[in-house]
Amino acid sequence: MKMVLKLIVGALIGFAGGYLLIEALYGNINNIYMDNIYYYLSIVIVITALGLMIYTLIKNYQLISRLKGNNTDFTDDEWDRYKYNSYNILTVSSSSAIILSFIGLSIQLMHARDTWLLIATGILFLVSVGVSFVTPNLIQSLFPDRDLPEPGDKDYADKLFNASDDGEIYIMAKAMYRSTNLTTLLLFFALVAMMFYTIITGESQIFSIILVGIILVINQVKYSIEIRDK
Amino acid sequence: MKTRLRELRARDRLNQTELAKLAKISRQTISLIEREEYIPSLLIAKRLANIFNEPIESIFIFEEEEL
Repeated sequence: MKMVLKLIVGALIGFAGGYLLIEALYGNINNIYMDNIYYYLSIVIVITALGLMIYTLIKNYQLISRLKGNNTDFTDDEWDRYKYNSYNILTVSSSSAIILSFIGLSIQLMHARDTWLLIATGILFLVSVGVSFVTPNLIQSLFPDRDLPEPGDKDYADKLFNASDDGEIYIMAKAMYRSTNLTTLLLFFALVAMMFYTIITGESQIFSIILVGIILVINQVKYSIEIRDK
Repeated sequence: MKTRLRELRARDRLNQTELAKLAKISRQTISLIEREEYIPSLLIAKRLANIFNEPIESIFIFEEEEL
């Protein structure tokens, strides 16, 4: 079933890309005003970033309240699972808020229309960065009996592995491997998409294509160096 | 590999958190072992065997083909 779904997704992407290419060569697609699309897209992105930041603050507050409370709602196992998963969600939401607000800010800077929107997006980005410093400090409160490293520690990876047991390292290794594979696949799709984008809109993405290509190569080389038999 | 860990935990009325503390590992690792997604090291297996006062072979059951 998974293979069938992959084939369908691949076919849809291929069809969309091919159709857009044909339209660009023979149709009226050059009438699309990309500036308008970017402007409204940046508003959607900024609203999403704002939503994620608010969610992060609320979830943070809930977690701290529960830490101070008696937690009679949870058994020991449920409480441990709740702490772990909540911290995980907080990390994802706060970093996503930063990335999306940065994208929104970048678009606003490049296609500045409304000064107020540009300023608001800039403030949102700075606040998102500020909020992101709150979450990592929770780790010591959540797991006080674990010798976990501070988030800004220069030997963070080594210390985290030393503080983790075999099962946790196994989970981290599996997750890292899967996310690296996904990143490689998505970056490759990004290369293809940028190529089609350049052809269709005439806006050169050669610099981005080269940059993404270099990142892909460095990623592969770094992985190879790390797993080398020493 | 099959494991009787959940059954033994229920027998001795231990939750995962308590068993993890006794075995000096994380609750996540206990959960992984119970879901049979992870084969523990010999050290962890021996600790668990000592906690439940059972031989390792009766807690972790391997098929003939796996050996």
